[in-house]
Amino acid sequence: MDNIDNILNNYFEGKALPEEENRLREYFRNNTVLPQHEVYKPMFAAFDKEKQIVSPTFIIPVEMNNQRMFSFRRLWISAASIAAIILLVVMFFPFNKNNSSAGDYLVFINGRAVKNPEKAQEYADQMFTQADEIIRTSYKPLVEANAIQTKMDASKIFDDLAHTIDHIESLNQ
Amino acid sequence: MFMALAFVTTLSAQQLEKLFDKYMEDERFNYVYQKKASMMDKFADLGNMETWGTDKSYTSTGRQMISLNSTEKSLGESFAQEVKNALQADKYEEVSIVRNGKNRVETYERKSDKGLSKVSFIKNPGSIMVSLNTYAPGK
Amino acid sequence: MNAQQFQDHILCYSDKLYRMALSVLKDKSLSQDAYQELMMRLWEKRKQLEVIENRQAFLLTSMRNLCLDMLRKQPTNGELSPHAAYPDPGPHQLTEEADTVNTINRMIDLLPEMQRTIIRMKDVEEMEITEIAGMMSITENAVAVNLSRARKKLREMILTHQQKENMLYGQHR
Repeated sequence: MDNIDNILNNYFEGKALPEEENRLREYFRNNTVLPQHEVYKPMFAAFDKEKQIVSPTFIIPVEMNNQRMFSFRRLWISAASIAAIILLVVMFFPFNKNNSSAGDYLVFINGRAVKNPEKAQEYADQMFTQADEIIRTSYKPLVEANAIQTKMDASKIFDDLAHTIDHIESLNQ
Repeated sequence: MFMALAFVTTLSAQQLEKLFDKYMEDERFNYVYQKKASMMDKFADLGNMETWGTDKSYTSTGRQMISLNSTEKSLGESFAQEVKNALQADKYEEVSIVRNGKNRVETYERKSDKGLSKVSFIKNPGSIMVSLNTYAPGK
Repeated sequence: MNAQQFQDHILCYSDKLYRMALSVLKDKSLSQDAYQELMMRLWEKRKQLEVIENRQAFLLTSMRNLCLDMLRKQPTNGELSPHAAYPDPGPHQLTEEADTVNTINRMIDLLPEMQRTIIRMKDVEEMEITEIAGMMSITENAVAVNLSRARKKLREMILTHQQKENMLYGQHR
């Protein structure tokens, strides 16, 4: 079996061809190998054994996470139309001042209570809207820094790739 | 005012709520609390990405927000840390962090049989805003 | 990309990805974490995955980078000591060969990260030199050199181990 010895040599030099390596693997999977090759049998067996390792199960999220898995472009367009609706609603259905009372709102500006119900409502709405707007616009560019519960922080991979992919996508359009 | 506070603590958030209580009358902060959903809220929620596509239906049971309008760095940092500690203590789950320019928006969530609590933690130079939206299950 | 497509196009690489994590981290528990973390991120970014042509390379690279990041953050600031990836032989030995095979798996773990990753990509996953080079962003020559080193080192460890065994137990095992 000079051939096997040749291939083994190439193997350890890192120069064996894929077909040669296949032959080698097959050879060592057989029970009969030459005595001088016995020593390598467990090595190839070890490789075969590692190949049998299987991953844990990943359960594709369905419930909670669906709400954030939207195409951002689609979302942006939809968010714009929502904003339009809000505007229309405000125009045609101005707040009925009789409905609101101080009890519905609690407002402190710089530590001082705003007693006037209308003002209180106005300030509250303003603050909430401002926050909503920031949140909404924060999703616009696909720059995401995400470090979830674990201590891992591999977000850089995705930052770079997101940029690359955006670039590729824009080239493809 | 005490009645309002009672409403505020209904959904047993504890630490975060306490933080709101602590600073609501602090002159360096603005605080707003809205007890129940109005028509405006329903639309505002639609604009809030987090509620899109939820299978369960929830009704808003109120929202509150505190904002620190100060450029004083150490105050901002210590407040942000307090918020972070409170979120951890209350076992909120981080949902996402998004950064856009100067704004950094972190959203958190906590679900239970009693309902849903969502927190948005917005940081930018010069202001920090923390909002808490609470929801009860059902229409 | 919907759940079914994710299942078909991404989750099919699960085992390889998990084995990559094991190779880098040498720790079963951490590798499981890394796997779940990566899958979750891939799911979140699945829309962007659609444009990637060479998925295997991309996925394996992502996993490797994520794990290398984790390693960097270890207090030891480098390699973790092998932990539970491959069991130590117990007092009740398995068959001689199984024992040796486990030993060899652990020997591979003793190699520097680049070498052990390359040898596993080649001998366990049966990837081509070109693929490995692309995945690790090194030249094909560099792959061949590291592969040769890794295999020779492994051979050396095996032979040394065998000599010790022969000395301790004689030829009568």
